[in-house]
Amino acid sequence: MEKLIIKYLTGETTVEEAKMVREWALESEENMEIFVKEKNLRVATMMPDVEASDSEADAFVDLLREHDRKKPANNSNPNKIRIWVTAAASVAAVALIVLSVSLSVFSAKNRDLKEELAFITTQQLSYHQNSTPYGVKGKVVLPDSSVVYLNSGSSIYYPSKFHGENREVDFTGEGYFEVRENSAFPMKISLSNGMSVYVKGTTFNLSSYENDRSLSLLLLSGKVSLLDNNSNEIVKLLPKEKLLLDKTTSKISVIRPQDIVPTVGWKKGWLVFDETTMPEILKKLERWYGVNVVVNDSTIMTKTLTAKFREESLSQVLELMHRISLIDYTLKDSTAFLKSYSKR
Amino acid sequence: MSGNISRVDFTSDELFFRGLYKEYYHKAVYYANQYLNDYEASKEIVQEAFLSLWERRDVLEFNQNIGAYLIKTVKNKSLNELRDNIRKLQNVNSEKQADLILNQRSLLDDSSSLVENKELSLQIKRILDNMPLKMREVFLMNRDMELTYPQIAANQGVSVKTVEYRISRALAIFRKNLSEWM
Repeated sequence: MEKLIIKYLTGETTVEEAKMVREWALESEENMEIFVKEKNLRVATMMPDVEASDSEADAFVDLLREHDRKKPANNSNPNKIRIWVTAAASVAAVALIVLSVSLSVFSAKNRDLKEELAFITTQQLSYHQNSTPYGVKGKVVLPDSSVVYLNSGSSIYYPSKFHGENREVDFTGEGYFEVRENSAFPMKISLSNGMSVYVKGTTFNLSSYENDRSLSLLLLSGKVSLLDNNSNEIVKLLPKEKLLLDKTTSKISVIRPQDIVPTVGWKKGWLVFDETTMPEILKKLERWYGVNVVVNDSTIMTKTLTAKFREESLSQVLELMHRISLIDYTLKDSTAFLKSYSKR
Repeated sequence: MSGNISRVDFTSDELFFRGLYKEYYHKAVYYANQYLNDYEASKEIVQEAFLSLWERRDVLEFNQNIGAYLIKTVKNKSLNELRDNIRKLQNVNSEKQADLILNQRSLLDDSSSLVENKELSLQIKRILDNMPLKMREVFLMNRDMELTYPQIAANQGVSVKTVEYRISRALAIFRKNLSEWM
């Protein structure tokens, strides 16, 4: 029912559905109360945060004067006027700030003007998205000259200019971040699972692929924290520490790896497996080489591999996995078919 | 008058009400319209509310919460209007009447004053700040710029389905985080 109420409040119900909601709400006081709370909360959330334009406000003052000509006000109280001047001054200051951010000068009724403004506003706050397809790596320089190296299959979304409280970016995939130090203006990296990484200036490797079971964050220098969905700090890392989050169980562990090459080697062209399980290996191969991997036999999925490759082709990697009796494979176009190893 | 030249010939009363109008006009019209389902009538009611405040500007004790006072005035006027409209719709259009009865019940409930709650608005802002950029952008285009889903989709270069998904996700986040208010 909840879903249907929301649909009704959005005006998206069919005639029958709307009828159902009305009847349900009018059926009992309990139902009515649920409906009422849902409606009022929605009104509060959807309240537009938009100012009237200067010309609308000027027209309003004209209306006040017109009104006074017909119906003069009572005697003025000079004390009150002084209070208003301060209040008005603060209103003006707020208006200025809001204007510089959102250019909120349109009439809610005027469609053409509105569309034009939508255009201008998005131009002003233009956003960039840089993505690396599978098989391709990349490097992005952010507006504050922070540098992000993107591993294959990653995407970063950021404004043309940072403003507000934080330097905000959206990120998915794996990236090696060199964030410009600015402790007064931290960077907040929002991840697809709702968490975020909060940094003031540091170097770290972040791996947060949407379809990976775990998220990993290795701090090389500086300070960095992981925040939950409500921006509360969950963990703060020290340099050389690596955080691992299991997204399904939400279990977090912090380790101090002996060797950082398995984590950051990709940036220098190393494809590294370190006791890596087969599902993980296959995902990495797909991203690294931009190929599809099809597994015809699930028994291989429990195997692990420790190996280091650099500039090897996919067939060389698969051949090595075959030689150590891990798999059999065939390569056709850009698809690799894998099955369990059998002696011939 | 040209839009670039700002007027300087305001009295302090006028300047104060001008600021009030700028900040609250669209909010108040939206609020009334959510219950009246009548945009023109909502605009009229809001204008009347501003004028009645203006008339009483010398006898009312205004503090910084004058916005809440304005909303309260709009609320009372809307309730009167609703009562009349519900009566008029008797035996004319039972569905429209039922819609307005639901709205009337909602507006009579204290939770309709949530919009005046500074703490709630702050929390809404906080939740917005924590949303992923794209989701927030799409949500605000819909809420504050009143763009339709297809317009947003065209603007963002994504499908209407994606826009729908992002907005419904945004609303779900609000619902989850604001449950204590319900």
